[in-house]
Amino acid sequence: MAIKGVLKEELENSIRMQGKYEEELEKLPVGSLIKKKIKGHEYYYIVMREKGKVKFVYKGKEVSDALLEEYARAKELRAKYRKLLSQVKKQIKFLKGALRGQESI
Amino acid sequence: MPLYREFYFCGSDISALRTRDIDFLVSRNTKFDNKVDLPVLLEDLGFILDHSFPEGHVRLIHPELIIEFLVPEMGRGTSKPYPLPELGMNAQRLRFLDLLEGDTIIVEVSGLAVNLPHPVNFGLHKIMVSSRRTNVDKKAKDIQAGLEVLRLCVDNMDGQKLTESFRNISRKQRKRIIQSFEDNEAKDLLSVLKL
Repeated sequence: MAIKGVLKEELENSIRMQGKYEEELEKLPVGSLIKKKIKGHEYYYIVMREKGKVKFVYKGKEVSDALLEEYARAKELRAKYRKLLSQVKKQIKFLKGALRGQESI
Repeated sequence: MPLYREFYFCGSDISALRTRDIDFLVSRNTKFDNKVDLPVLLEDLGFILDHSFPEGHVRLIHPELIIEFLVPEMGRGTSKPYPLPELGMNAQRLRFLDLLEGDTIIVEVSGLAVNLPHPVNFGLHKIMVSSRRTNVDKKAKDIQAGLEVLRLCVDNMDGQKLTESFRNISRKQRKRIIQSFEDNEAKDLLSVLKL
């Protein structure tokens, strides 16, 4: 009985965690900052997907260091959070299965 | 609990089921030498802040670890979190934690010296908090954990320590512990307390 209780609690924690990681991912700036070279000149764009299409938003010939840093950090965190989110989803699947008695515990 | 097994250098059959929670007990009179923003520090490892609603307790969550801070609750008690600005966190106030902070042991795990409550006090504390639990599963888990640790202590020559610690807690709590031992047919532990 205590085992089931622990698993239930862990499942609740994981479900909550999934929501929190999804929230954190939504908070990150959309798209990635890229530099394009056109006719020998460099221009910055935010590249993103909108309704299944790739969209480029022009940001100028130069951008602030803060913006560069913001997008670099967002890229790093996005990769990290997606990996952790996938781990949490696997945990949820396992815990749900275990509570239904489909996994050996 | 696996750390208590380390402490007694034994392979006793203590539950291998582990949750992801790690609670840090902070004394009310703790002085911090440096200010650290723990959520920012742990962001690189993928930890995110989770706020409880409506109390506002915060914890740092990660698929492999959930970090929370606790402080002993004194007086009439409040559900408000205890601020820990030096860590960029807050702590949950819980009853009877003073029992845990007074007498500690150090266990070395993977090169880290971990300061833990003495297992006897930990076990007694689990039994004491179990009587306040409303959630049946959590209550059962606390009792099971408490009994397992106390039996580990008794098996490792700490029966005398159990008797001493038991004598030092309030009469009301002693009654609760005896009741819990009786309800769970822990005659072996009752006999150690010579009851």
